[in-house]
Amino acid sequence: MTPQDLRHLVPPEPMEIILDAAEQMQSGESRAWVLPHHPTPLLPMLERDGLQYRFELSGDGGVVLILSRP
Amino acid sequence: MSAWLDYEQAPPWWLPLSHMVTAPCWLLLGAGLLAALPAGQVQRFQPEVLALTHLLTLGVLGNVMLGALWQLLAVAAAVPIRGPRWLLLSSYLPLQAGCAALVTGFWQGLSPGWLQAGAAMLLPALLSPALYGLHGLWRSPARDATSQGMRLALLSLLLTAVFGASMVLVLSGRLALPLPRLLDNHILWAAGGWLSLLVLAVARTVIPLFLITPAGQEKQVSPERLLAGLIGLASVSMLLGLDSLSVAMVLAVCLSLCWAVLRLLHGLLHSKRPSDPSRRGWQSACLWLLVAIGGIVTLQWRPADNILPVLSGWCVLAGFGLGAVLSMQGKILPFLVWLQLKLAGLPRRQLPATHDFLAEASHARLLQLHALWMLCGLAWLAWGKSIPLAMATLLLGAYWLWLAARVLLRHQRCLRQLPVQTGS
Repeated sequence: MTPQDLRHLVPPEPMEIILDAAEQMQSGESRAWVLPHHPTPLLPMLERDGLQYRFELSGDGGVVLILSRP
Repeated sequence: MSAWLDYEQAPPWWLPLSHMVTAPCWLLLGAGLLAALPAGQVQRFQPEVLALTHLLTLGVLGNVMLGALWQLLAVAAAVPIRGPRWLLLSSYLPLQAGCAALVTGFWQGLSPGWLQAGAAMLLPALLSPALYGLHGLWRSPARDATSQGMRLALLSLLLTAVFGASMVLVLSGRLALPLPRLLDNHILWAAGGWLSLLVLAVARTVIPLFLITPAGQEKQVSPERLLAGLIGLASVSMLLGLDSLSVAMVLAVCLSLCWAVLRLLHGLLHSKRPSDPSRRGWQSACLWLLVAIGGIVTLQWRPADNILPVLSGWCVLAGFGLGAVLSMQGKILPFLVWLQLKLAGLPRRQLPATHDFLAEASHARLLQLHALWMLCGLAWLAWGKSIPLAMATLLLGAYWLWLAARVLLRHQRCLRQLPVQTGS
């Protein structure tokens, strides 16, 4: 799974893209994105939709968000 | 510690948006008053100048700040907004009526009847959000820097209102207290406390998220706490009439504010969105505040200077206050309406992107008009000619209102596309 880099986008466009993708995710599916920082405002919305998430460091100053629908 | 975010607590959209759409209307009214201003050198205690100052602080800044406060209390500090209709009646409506009465009272040469009527309406208008917010924050689990800053800002709002009302009673001959001490305290808590602390608190959440600045290191004593503590000490020394200590404490307040602003500027310098208009807007707002601080510091050695207090006031309120407000609005307003529609369940294909509500180019134009307005204001202070400032105020107010109305209309169109709720 290669994470999609969203760091070049104007906030809150990454949030819109992730929420759009999250809506379409099937049960058992996972996706990942590279973000410029920890996406605090996004997390309550992901939790509300019953999604699971975890983070990794991208190694070049970014944060990788890994999202999965149980 | 990052901000506590809970969108489930968000107030109904009409509560913050009512305030935010009303603010530019006050600016338009200000353009009319400026056009009617008698020509001549601006004087600090000229009734018309006092009227315009309160129109700007209560009508324009007060509305936006209270609108932002309702949203932030709920979303960033988990304070549930119960009884929003009651809040509209107890705060929004008396704020507009009280501001109109107070401005009329000042414009008519400190008319006691109008001033008392204004104070009687403004006290509940300002005390209800202050007490509601303080009570909510007291019980809130949020302990982040934004929530702490909001606590201190609301305490400052409470004191600003109390000192302001006391001054009206003194001016009306109903209370015998030394007016200059009340005035100094009113200004200190309003500009240094309510305005600066709220803007700095909101900036803690908004700037890193939208402008992608590095997270600031948490200090043992936050700049907001230090600032509030020093303002408290300055206030007490002013009330006790300890002149030398008051001067020292005012200088300490200025230094503390400088530290907070330089921290903000440092973060903005490292923003990963260097061409974002909001970044330039924030930088300008910070620079206006630094100019104001320079004016206030100089004033301690030249207390009789007539132009320095007005210049500093213009830079704090119009430059820093409105500059920061407009920089934030370009980000918060479209995000607010987008979020509300998303949470309301508008289907993905019908939900516009945040930038469709307000384009970056429109936001940049708004901030350019603010810069032009600031320069016209400086020309007014220097040469006493108010017509260019009146024209610039009209332009800024009209464009701001047009943008806000467009966001609101788009939001209404989207609301009509919401699927009809069935069941329950």
